[in-house]
Amino acid sequence: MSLSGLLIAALLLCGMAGVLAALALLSGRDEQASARAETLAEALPGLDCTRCGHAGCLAYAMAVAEGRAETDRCQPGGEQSRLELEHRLGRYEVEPEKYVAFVRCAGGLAAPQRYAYDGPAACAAAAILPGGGPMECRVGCLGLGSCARSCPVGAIDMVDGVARVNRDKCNGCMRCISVCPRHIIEAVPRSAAARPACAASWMATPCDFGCDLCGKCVTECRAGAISIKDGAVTVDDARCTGCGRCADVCERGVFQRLRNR
Amino acid sequence: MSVRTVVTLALTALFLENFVFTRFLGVRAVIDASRSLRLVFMNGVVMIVLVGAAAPLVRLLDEYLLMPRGLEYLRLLVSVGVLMILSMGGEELMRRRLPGFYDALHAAQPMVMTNTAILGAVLLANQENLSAPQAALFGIFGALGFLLAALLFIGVRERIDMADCPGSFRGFPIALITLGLLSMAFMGFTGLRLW
Repeated sequence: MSLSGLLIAALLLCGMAGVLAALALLSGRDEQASARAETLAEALPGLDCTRCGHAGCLAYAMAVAEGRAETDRCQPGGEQSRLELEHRLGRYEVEPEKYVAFVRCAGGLAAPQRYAYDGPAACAAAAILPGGGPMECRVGCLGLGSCARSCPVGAIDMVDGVARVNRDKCNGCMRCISVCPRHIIEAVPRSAAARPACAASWMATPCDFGCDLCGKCVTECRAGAISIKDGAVTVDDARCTGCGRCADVCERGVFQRLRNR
Repeated sequence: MSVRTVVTLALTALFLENFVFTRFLGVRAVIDASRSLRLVFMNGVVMIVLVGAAAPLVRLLDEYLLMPRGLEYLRLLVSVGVLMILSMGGEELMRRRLPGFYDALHAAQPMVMTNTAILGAVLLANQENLSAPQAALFGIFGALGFLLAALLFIGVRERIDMADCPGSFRGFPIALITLGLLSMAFMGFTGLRLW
């Protein structure tokens, strides 16, 4: 090996290092924005659905961090994502309400079935079958666990053929909502005290665990927080005191207590 | 360069020596990218451009700078350096001149940087004693081969996700097994003798 060979090798490597360093210097100035974008991205669902018009959640967060985009573009995240983004940008004093997923069905294995289903273990596959799937109820949990598999933190368990959300684990990413073909998973405020676990309106369910609109919860609620709207029981969280009386009086066990007093 | 050479190069890079199935390069990238069709195409496009540019460059450097002076031992370092410079420079250029492209492809960058098929394509194109344009073609067809593998795999993966797979195989293990089966299918192409 000659000296000139060594010299050329050294020059070559130094030259490449120099070019790389120059490039790193050129692109290094937006390090701060990208660091900020990462914290902003935590406020987004992380679905990379691109409905905001950007390449993904991180690209959108980057655009927001650089002031190129508004905060209300995220469709799956909706109002919650907008508030979270605003909060992280330091524009809001109050921390926004945290949401958790809630499955509006208590039927599961005990709910009446029209036929036995023996296909792929995916809710979307069962839901496209004739009659909207093997269940008689059109808004019942199919129990095949697509939401549980989609959950990044393992907060959803399948208990007796119906999905149950572990509120301590749920981080509010709401992936399960977009996965459920029945649209029976709902985002409820973490502070909400009670919700009816049935998505049927106007008693449109043959299930023994579905709401039959008996109205007991409405009359028994002392705070007047429960009413029937569009054929379904709704809870006004602003008035609810969290006494849990609705859950006690519900004869079908539809009402579920979400937190203890 | 005759049509025959081009076809030979294409068949070799796409089927005979598909990086993913016969060399097991870029397996991680295929498994990672097969989450969505978008990611697969992003990876494919970036790889085609990058390898298409880097392979002839490295070939020229090798032929006129390294080989005459007995510096072959620098081949790997030079390849990595050229790839780094091209990908960083390209990214910077896109960010300034084509922000739309930058937004679309930026997310694929970390996956591209760890894609062994890219370095593999550049090194292999160099080994085959090809001319610079041939090396570029070999690289581009190799990248297309990667795209083909990823597309095949994403189709199979969609079915696997639906299937009732034993718990111990779910996820990564079954992905590797599937890839192995696919690569066995590709082994069938080794019967073709072109070179």
